[in-house]
Amino acid sequence: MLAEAVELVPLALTADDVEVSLLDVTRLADPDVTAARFLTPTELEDYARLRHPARRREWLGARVCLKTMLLRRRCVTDPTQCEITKDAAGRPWLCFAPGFSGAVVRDCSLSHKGRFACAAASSLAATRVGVDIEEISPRLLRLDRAFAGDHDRPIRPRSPEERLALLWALKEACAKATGGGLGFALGAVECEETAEGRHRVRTADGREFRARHVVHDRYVVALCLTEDEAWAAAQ
Amino acid sequence: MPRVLSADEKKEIYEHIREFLSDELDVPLESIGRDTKIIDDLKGDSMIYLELVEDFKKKYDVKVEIALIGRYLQKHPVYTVGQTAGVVYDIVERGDNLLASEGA
Repeated sequence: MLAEAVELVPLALTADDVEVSLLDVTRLADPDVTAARFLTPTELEDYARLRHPARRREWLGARVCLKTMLLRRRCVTDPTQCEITKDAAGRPWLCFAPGFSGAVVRDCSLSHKGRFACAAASSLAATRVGVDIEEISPRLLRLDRAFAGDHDRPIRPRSPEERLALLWALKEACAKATGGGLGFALGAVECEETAEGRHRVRTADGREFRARHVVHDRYVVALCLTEDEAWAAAQ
Repeated sequence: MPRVLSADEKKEIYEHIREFLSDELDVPLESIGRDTKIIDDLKGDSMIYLELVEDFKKKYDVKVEIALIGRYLQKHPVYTVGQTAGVVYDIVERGDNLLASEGA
């Protein structure tokens, strides 16, 4: 069974209606063979356009991760029965082959960094999701004042590297939920940890997001949820 | 006063961006051109843009809030090296007035 052949790491971010999993891309079998098995013809064209081998592997890993989650949920019986496209804002969007309903998965999000690819799949009707994974590394230290502010309030002290990886992952996850891109993440966004691993993220214009995070093997994974009735009605 | 970059200064910035990306992402300099996509072609990430901007803010002594740059980037998304150079020109030339001519 293809769904069992891929080893996913389920994360504690998973709840009844939102599933988040990780895939170690270094353990992916031959990428080109995997791509041929998992991707639709259009996705294969996109894959072929990626020049950097490591970028190809992580791009593929995120899609294999999401499609394996769909296989296990029995949304599809073959990974080529759904295609991951992008909407006008650049957010990933699932298109299912005729006969397969997308009702079970209303929204999705993808991320990758270093060893891991990550995917979130949500069956919540009017909720956008965004997921981001960041490595806890000293790289972030030189950017401390650039994106972390005094208004960002973690619930307990963490190492500077972990605090910065967490803040960046939260802001990126919210940017992905909204489709706001890097500009959103760099904007006036405040993160408040309300309980261990649970966050409230606010923008200067008053929007508010719910977020959660976990740390897995020196990587922070953040999940952001935001209600959007207008978006849901347009689907 | 708004600053106006000369053609030579713009070329210097563009070349500095290529060198920065070559060093940080460990890719050959000759593989980086104006149309090169930073994430798809060079395996950059969103943070590399922030690192570049911070580097140029220091180099040109530009005082501009990162949140303002964030608002600017929401109006001007960047994917390629050429687009990134254009953003850096605007940041250096306009500073705190980055969005002044755009009704923001």
